[in-house]
Amino acid sequence: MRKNYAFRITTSSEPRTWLNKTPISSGKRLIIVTQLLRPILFLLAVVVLPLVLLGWLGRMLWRDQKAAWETQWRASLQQDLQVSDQQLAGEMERIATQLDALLTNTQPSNAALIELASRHPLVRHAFRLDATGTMAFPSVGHQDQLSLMDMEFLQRTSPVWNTGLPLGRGTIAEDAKLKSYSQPANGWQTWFYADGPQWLYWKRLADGTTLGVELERAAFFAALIARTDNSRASARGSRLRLTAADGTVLHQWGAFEPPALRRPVLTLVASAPLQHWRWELFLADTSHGRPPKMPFILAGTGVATLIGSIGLLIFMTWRRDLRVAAQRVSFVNQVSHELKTPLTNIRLYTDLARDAAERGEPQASQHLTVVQEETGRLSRLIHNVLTFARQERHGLQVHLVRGDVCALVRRVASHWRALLERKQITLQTSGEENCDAFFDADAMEQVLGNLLSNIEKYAVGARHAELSVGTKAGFVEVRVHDDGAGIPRSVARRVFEPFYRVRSDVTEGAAGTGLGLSIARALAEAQGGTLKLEPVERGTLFVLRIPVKNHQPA
Amino acid sequence: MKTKRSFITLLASVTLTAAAFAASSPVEVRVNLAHPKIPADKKFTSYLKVGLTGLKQDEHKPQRPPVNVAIVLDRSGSMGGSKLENAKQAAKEALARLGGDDVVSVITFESEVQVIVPATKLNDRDRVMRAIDEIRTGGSTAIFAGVSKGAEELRKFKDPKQISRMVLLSDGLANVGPSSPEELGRLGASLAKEGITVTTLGLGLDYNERLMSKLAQMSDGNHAFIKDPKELASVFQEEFGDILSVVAQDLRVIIQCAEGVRPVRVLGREADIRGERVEVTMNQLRAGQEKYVLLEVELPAGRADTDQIVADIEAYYRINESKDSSKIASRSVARRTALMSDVTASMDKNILVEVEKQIGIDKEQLAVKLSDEGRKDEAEKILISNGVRLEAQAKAYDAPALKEMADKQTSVNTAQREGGANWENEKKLRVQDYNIIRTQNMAK
Repeated sequence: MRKNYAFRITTSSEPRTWLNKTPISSGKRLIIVTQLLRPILFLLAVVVLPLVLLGWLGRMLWRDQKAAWETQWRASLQQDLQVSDQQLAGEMERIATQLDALLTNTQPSNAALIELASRHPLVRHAFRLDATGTMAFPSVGHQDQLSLMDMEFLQRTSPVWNTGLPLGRGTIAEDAKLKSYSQPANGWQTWFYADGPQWLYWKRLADGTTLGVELERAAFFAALIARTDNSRASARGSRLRLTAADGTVLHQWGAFEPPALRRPVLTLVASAPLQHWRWELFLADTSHGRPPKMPFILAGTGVATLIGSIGLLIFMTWRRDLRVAAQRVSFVNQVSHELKTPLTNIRLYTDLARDAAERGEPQASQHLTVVQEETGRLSRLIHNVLTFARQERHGLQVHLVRGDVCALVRRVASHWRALLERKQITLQTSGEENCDAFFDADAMEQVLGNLLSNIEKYAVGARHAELSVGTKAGFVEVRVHDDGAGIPRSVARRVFEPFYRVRSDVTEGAAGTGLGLSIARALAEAQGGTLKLEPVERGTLFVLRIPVKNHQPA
Repeated sequence: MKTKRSFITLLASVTLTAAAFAASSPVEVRVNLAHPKIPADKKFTSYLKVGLTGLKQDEHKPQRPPVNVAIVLDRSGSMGGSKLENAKQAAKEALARLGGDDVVSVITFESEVQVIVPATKLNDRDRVMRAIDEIRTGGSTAIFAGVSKGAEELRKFKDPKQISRMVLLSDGLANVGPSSPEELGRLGASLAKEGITVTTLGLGLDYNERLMSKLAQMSDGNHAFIKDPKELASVFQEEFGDILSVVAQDLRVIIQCAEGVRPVRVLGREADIRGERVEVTMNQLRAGQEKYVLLEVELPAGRADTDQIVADIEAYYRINESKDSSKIASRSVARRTALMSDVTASMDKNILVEVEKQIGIDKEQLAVKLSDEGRKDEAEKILISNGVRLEAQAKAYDAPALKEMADKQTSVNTAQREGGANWENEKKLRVQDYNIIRTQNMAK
């Protein structure tokens, strides 16, 4: 019979597992896939999409900002270069003025021109053209009067006399530093000889005679170098170069030494008549050309965090609602099973008892015991569900009455002993004989019943259970200890949550609403006490404490 | 001042002898012809030497005029270690010789140029010394910029009464700014017009001796090769001694050749020859130093036992304390003779040896130029013929100096051709050449 009973228990437990074990149909699979997809879609919509959008916007903004910044930066550098160039042009003008004055004060005689060249540091040679533009000094016509220097001068300047439209006649006038609407009366003439550009400065007198000087190029360079100041370039950690058309560096300012192949950040063609020269600017640190990244990073991070947090918040709320809904559904399922199982047993054993009674068999009383037990279980269950519902609506109401906890514990134990023995678990009681406290007997019974019911259902491999009771520091302490598999420490904190069931092979097969411990703790606390799961080496130990004195206002 | 000048002019104008000498003048002018006796009845080429000697000054003479010195130091990377330290030490020791009224400026250059001490009177000596102490080595070698800034500093206190001198010390090749010997030479020539003289000191074996010597030559300065940084101190001392013992500036020699006499060329120095007039300028002359002009002249044919006036010579100079020039005039006359033996017996061998040296160096430099252009064969031909000529002349004038010169040139050039260039010998040769080209020497 016992075997039979066990068999029935097994069969009766079968429907409990249909949720997990029934093969999943294709329709259901679709639902599950959608359910899995939904949070991903949700994340995409709420978090990823705005973030991508934000990133894109940021990038666009950054690009615009960068371009604007760089334009501005370049403009400021360009301005610097122009200042240097103006300085150079100013120096050139100063030299022109100086030479002009020199030519104005010079007699147009050969001797005076020779003297001029031998005395003035900026003058390499001087010359005179007559009104027809013919070279009058130094003249090839008077060979015996030519010095070696005269001949060299004529050779150097031959491109000017042979090819061009020299000294303000024709197009070259465009280059002339000082222009007038008619023919310019003075100006620079650039020509190329040997290793680069050379310069003549000329002035036409009232009678059509032209006086001119060949600029002493080295002295001219030296004057430019000596007079241009380099504090600007050095201050910026940069290198400013003035280079000739062939790339030769004429002079450079600034302490920064650019690597050999580095291209200049900025170049500027020097003003006429030095248009064959170029300004080049190198910078050690070109980061000033980009706007500061920090505000962008900060703003971006801020907005991203905000979006992320909002997304996460919504997601978590949604998840919680989902879980609560799922718990309620599973709760209803569980409760239905819980109600169904004892009912089935009651119907079955009532039938058996009636058959046995009709046949006058002695088992009738045994069957009725089972019916009685199952009725008790049913009643407990309904009690729990009602308590829970009440708690949800109004909170728990208890009526504390002074009584003997020890007696109550012994009574509950004697009631549960037979039930546990059927699962081969022996239940012992120990501790004090009398222990008075203020408590609600129904609530107390429900708490202890839930704890012992847990042992019956979940304490795998348990052989002994012990109920000990005693008074300790103003509390009556009831310790419920079994030597089963115990509860993993990681979930110890969650076992008191409503609907929470420890997932394991044990609970898979066992019945339960997930309410028992939650309600037990709520009831213990309603009586001013506590219920705790205490760590022990083997098994599970729940400790219930009920205050001896009544702390509740009467 | 005016009285003094007229007095000198008066004195100068009455002394029309071959060796003009004015008792109070710090400059002595000597005019010599290589051939005081020339052959009659044919054209004849000879050499006229006009020597200007600075006379040792009276020890008790009033204070010397203040000088204006710019020290331009190379602080490129290669100057690291003992070179720069010795240079700094040498500069400081040399500055110790200057007085509180003297003006000094210190400029350093590497890839750019810095004015370490702007032109300032030396009364705050410590500040100048400290600034020199703080000089550290840097990158490349912007010689042109260094000289430009140096000149600018000298200009700040420029006074015709003062002596302006730039002392440039470099150990490397110019690689920033204009870097050819020609361009630096032109800069030197321009500075000379302003009365600024550049002395170039080449340190070690890596500097460009042509650039450095050209710059010095064109500005009428000195040029020295310093092999060991330890020698720097004595070289600086010598240079500052030179600066402090300048007796005359803005020297100008005008040689007006007589009719029929053709001035052919001036050896060594830059000269302006126009028709029969020859003009040569020199910047400064120090006590005990002789600077001279070697003019090749072609004398016309004439009857025996007549005098041929060769040239009238005028030497202008300015003594330090004065703003105005003084003048010494002189004349050179040759005597025609029918006897060739007379010509030979009377000739001035020293001048002829000097001329040969000049020609020898000219040829050698031409060979170097050709060699640089890749025309090695032509260069070698010139060198060989030059060597043969120098040896022949060494015998003819009994002048071992010429033989020595030929040998040195040959050894340096052989070494170069064979790839084992001996830079030290080459630089020594250039410095030696330099003083010959400059046609100057310390008077005996």
